Amino acid sequence: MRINHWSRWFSAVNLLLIVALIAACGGGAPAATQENAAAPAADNASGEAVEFVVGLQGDIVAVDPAYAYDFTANPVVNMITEPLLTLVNGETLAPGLAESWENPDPLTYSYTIRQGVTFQDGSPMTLDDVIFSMERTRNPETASYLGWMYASVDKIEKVGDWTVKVTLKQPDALWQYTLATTAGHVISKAYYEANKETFGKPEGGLLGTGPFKFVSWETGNQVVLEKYDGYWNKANGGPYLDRIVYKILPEATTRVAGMETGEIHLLLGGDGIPADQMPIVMAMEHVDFQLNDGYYTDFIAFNTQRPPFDNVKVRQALNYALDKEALMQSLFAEGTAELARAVDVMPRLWTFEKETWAAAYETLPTYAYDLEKAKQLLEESGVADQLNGKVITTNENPVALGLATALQEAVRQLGYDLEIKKVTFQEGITLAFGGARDYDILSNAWGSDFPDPAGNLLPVFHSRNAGDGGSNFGNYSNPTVDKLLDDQNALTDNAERTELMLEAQQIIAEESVWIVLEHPKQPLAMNKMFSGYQITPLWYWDAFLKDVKKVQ
Amino acid sequence: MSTYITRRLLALIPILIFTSFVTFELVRLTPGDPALIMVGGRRTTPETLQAIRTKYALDKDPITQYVLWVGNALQGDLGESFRLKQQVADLIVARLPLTLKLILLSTMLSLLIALPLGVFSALYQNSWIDYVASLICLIGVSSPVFFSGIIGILVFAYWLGWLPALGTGQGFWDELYHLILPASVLALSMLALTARMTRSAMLEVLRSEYITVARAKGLAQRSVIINHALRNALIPVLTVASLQLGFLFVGTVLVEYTFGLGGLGSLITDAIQNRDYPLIQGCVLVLVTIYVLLNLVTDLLYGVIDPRIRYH
Repeated sequence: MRINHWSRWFSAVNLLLIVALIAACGGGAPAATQENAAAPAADNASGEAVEFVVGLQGDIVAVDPAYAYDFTANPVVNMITEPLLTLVNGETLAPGLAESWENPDPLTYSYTIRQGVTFQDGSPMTLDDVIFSMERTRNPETASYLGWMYASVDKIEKVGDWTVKVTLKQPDALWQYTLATTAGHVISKAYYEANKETFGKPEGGLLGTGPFKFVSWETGNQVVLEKYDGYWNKANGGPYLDRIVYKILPEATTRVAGMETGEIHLLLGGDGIPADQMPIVMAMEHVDFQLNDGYYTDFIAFNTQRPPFDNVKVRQALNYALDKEALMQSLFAEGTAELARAVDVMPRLWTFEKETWAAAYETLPTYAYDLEKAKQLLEESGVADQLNGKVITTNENPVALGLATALQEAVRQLGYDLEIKKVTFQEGITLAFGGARDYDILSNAWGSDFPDPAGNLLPVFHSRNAGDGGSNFGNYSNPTVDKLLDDQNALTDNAERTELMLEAQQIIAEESVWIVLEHPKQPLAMNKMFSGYQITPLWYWDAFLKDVKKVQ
Repeated sequence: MSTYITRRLLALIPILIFTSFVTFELVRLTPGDPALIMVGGRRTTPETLQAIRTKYALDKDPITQYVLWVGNALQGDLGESFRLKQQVADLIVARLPLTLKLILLSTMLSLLIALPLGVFSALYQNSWIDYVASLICLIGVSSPVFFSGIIGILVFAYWLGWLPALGTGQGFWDELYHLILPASVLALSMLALTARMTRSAMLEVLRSEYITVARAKGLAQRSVIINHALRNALIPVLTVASLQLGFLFVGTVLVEYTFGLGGLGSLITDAIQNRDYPLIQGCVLVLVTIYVLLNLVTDLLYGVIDPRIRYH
């Protein structure tokens, strides 16, 4: 009797656990097959094989270049597929899968494709693969995130066996860089057509010509790549790493802890190493910490179509009222950001006509902190009594939040009140890129995708880009600026382009469309056991692990 | 008994219809444009946005969208995730096991600690044992999971180097090794309620007359405590424990986030943040089903513990 009671009590608790266990086992079957699939690779790694672990701040959206347009998917995709052109130091165009290119007239670009390149299944890369990949990204039905880069393309044609000719509808100075981004990555047409349904997903993966091939993707956990021995470009000796594991770690503290324990070998970008974590990573002795200029800017954008911010004097007054230098020092560790001067075209982005840009830079207003001037401008505006509104910012970005609160404080010193509205990162996207432009002031960040000053002017200040999906955060509409930006984009001579862009830049700066705070540096942290990459301003277009090797 | 179970399972159908409809319409009312969010905060063209909206029927009114969704769901097609471009069902099947393992392990840990803790603090009420147990419960209930998680990483991975800071591991033992810290953190957060519930239920039972009778009959202390007292005290404890099991699905969200574990919790948060409508919908269906089944199992367990409870 007693034994019976005891055992029944025991079985009661056990039953609860067993039910859960059965559920776990039932659901566990697919996970088990995944583990088995990964097992042979793990065996290889136990020998001399070198495994390299990258910490990513979020899951990837797809292993597909057509959707690789962020700081998690690109670090993965860039190792598997390659672009027709590459960028040296994030500045100069260089050959990639295209060995040479020509631009005989402003509307025509022809690219000669490299021969003897193979996909990771051993099949040769042909011109068909190149054209197929370009057309796929260009096709609106693909809904590629990079599709907009093809907006000015009229047609893509085959010329002979190894040349692709791109004809533009109108001249577009920024087109030259498109094929150096993921929009110019080449996938295997045969592989895509054989795996249409699963392409870019965990089961189908991706096949390219890059130094590493796709092995597995456990969503939410990790992505695994392996070295491709038949890689065509061994000019620098790479690829060296046998296996790359990308671990998905949304919590910044955990990524930094992994860096300290040696479980993570690489973190990169401002999202990977947030400003507040940088001092901790910098202090780690076994970590090589790099900082390089970026093309990024943190700023506040006024909705220039909404009173009272349609009044230039109000915008200027607020710009003078904000102590940008003090704010930058409170938000960034020493040397991790560069103070801006009224515009988002930073010195590093002067990739041509440097002296002309530098001379013009000196004539830009600085909007150095001057409360008296702010008060005076506000009075002159005549609409000071209407000064109120909401500043949109997000919790997820400490710099944007800092900017918003600092502006609120500055306006309070002028005797007025701004309200801060915190939204989630995703709601922020909806407001910032929504055609409705339903906000007064926006605290945000922006960076050019191209090594060209126009990349920080055209998308953000041309009135055409205020619509749905556009990035004209200031809702700025100035026919003079529009014309200058259009005209420069239709030219190929950089000296002439510079002249027009400088004129536009001067107007934008004087109109105080944005309050421009600073340009954050791009960070990279790598365990000193490895070396072989220096971070560039456009690192997210680089195949940065190609020549990384173990040195200790 | 079996008719009872059938009836309870049939009740699942209206529950699922109701919750799926409410979720479906509510997520569409929350601010945030899924097409813009899908592009991920990058510039794009109105044509691309239109293509995305057409592809996912976002240009239709919410009721039509729901009808379309139900039609597909009845054929076993939960749709494709907006953000991850994969079948919702595949994603859930891939992510659920890890969360279940985490919940199983932390429930075991928390029961193993909480039950003895509750029993002993009831037996030695107001003694130092009781106070220490209260203190443990207080710490557990008042430290948020993300906080104790980071402290755990700091102490056990960063300083002592005993346990890994992140990731899931391959194979049974490696996985257990990786999950022990996150599971302990989760267990710490839920043991308080179970322990306190056990304590108060035990105190009440120990004061009742049949315990005095059992003692008077000369039964051994152990037998009195386990067979007579604990067994009767277990009903409310079971209620609390099963409720907590439901809440654990929420608790795992933070643990998965902190330790970089890709379970159902992180899938749901990502889905909600990114307005990934089909994925939110799929996850809610799974959670509601689990919750309802959990309640059913709990009700059946009452009968096992207390033979007076019978279901018809």
